[in-house]
Amino acid sequence: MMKLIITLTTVLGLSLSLSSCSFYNSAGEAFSMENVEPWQRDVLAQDDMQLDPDGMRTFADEHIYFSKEASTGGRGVGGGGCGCN
Amino acid sequence: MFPYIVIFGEVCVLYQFNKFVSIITLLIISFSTPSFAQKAPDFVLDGDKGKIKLSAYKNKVVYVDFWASWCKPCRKSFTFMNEMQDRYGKNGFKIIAINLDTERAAASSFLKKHPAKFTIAYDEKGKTPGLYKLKVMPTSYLIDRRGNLINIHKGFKDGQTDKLEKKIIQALNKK
Amino acid sequence: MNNIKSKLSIATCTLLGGTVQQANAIENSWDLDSSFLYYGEADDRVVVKKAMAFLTGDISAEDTVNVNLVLDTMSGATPTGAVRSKNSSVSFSSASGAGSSTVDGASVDRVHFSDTRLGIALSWAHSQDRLTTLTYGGSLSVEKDYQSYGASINYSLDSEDRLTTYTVGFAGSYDEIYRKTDGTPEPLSRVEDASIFSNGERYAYDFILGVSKVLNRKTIAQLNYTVSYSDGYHTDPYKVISEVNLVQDTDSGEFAWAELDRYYEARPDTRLRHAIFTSMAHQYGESGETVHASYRFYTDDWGISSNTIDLTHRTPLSANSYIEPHFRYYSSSAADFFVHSFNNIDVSTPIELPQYASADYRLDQSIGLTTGIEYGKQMYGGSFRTRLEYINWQYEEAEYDETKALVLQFSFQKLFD
Repeated sequence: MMKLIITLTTVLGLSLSLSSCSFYNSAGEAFSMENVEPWQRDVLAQDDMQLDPDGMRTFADEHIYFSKEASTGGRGVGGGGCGCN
Repeated sequence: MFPYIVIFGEVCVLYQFNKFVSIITLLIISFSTPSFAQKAPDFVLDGDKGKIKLSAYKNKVVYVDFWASWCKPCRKSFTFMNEMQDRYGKNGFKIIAINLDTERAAASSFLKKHPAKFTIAYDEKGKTPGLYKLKVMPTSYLIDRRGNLINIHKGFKDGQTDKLEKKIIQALNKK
Repeated sequence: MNNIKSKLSIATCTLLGGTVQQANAIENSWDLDSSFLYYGEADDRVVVKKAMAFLTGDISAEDTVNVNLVLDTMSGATPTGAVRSKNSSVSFSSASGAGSSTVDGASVDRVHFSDTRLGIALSWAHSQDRLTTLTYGGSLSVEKDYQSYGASINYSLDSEDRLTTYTVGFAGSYDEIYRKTDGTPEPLSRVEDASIFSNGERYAYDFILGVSKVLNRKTIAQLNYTVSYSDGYHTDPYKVISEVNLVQDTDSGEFAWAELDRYYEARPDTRLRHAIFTSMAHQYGESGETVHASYRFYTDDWGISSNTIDLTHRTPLSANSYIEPHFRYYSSSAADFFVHSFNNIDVSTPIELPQYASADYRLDQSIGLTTGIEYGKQMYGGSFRTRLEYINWQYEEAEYDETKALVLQFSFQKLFD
């Protein structure tokens, strides 16, 4: 019973995350390297395009998983954004 | 680049004839005001009330600023530019702020929150930043009355406004 | 400088776990983010209520400071590592206040606790020039039986075109670990007659090397390597291991564990960990849908290796609201010295104890799955978010083979001039 719930949860989770046709078209686009000029950083400047968009959420999660799991760390660098100044 | 090659060539020739004269010439040239300054590239863009052409402002000191709604330091620069336009507009100072948003709506909503007392030009296709070799957002280019690019200021920080204002006054005082 | 919203990087203790953000300038001068989080496990286990306040501000054109405060109240019952047994020979009453180890002949395998934790972290990021930033951080965390102090330094360098950022960082921490009522028990000693030693101490040193790169107008990615070495007391002073024997019930014929004895656990004095972490953010489509995906590979010299995948997908519902499902998958091997119990097959001879052993389920082979959903909306001049998550961990051999938890969080962020 538990294994069934886990499998269903996994499938649901993955499909929620990967739903939408344009995502599949875009999957290739995601990794294509392009030079980005300083005036083309409109999308990169958005709050939810930062590598860590919600510091408080990341902090809370890191603490939960640090307390309940044996593995730690990994996160930590910055970059991206509007590239201003 | 070319003017420098010409000078170097001329000094080398002079050196053959008279070492003393060539060295003096070199010193005079290096300390004199550069007459090889770059001309600011001309452009024609849409404004709120018709087209905006840089060369139309020939006898004014023009401050060309590149901005976008998503550029956070740009919000602070608007306060500074409003002040400058107010203070020196009557002395022949003109600000042209070129917007680089790909959609006019983004620029309009920004302008509602941060109204501008200076001229806005729209370059959705991004033709002009390449001409001005724009390296960072925002950047301002100060152009004197003869159309020469005399100062490039990368980025915008509150502490830098005094220096910028001094350069504007200097340009306005030159005839 | 890049007006930066900078948080501490490098996870050494629980408080150092943020990300150094460089190029995203703060529009207003101050940013206050506050949050309340509830974490509750099923079966009357652990409950944590967490209140957080993160303040970020520019004190000059080159300097940004962060002050982070966290207050946790923790309560509930947590497994000790002992085996559940209706038939236990261990009958003492623990002086440490953890309660007696048997009730009516049956083993007590969970211990009740109640504690409050205060955490403070401060950081100062200074822009040396347009492309480089130096960030200094300090933190402390205190609760009744655990104190941790840490410091870190991070250096980041942007490429001229601002498409690449390199980061290198060091952190150090000092932890003091002990039981509420006394120090730490002698490792692998019998609970009944264990000597009590002084408080445990531990030092940890972390190093991080990372690079982030803008791949195209709509994608950014990062790759980090972290290595961490810790030296000192790693044992959990409350955790025990049961010595058991399989007995057959004379009436029903069923087999069950009988607890013969109980020992305190013992973990090695040193630990060396490595992790490789990569993540990316990508926006696609006409309506601004954003995907975040990350993968971490972790390994250490206790024999633990794990893989973690994290995915979030944000869909804007309107110009100022969104919905964001979240999925996380975690899979880990067991520590070399992890045991379910000491199985004494031949009760006439005493068992041979290993050098290190622990029955703490957190060191067991496990799989953890998280599914959650977050909703966000701009309101009252700020950004309101709420999320609900369900976490399920399954363990291979540990006595308590499952942990189920629910997380509920409310956050509100406001920018001030």
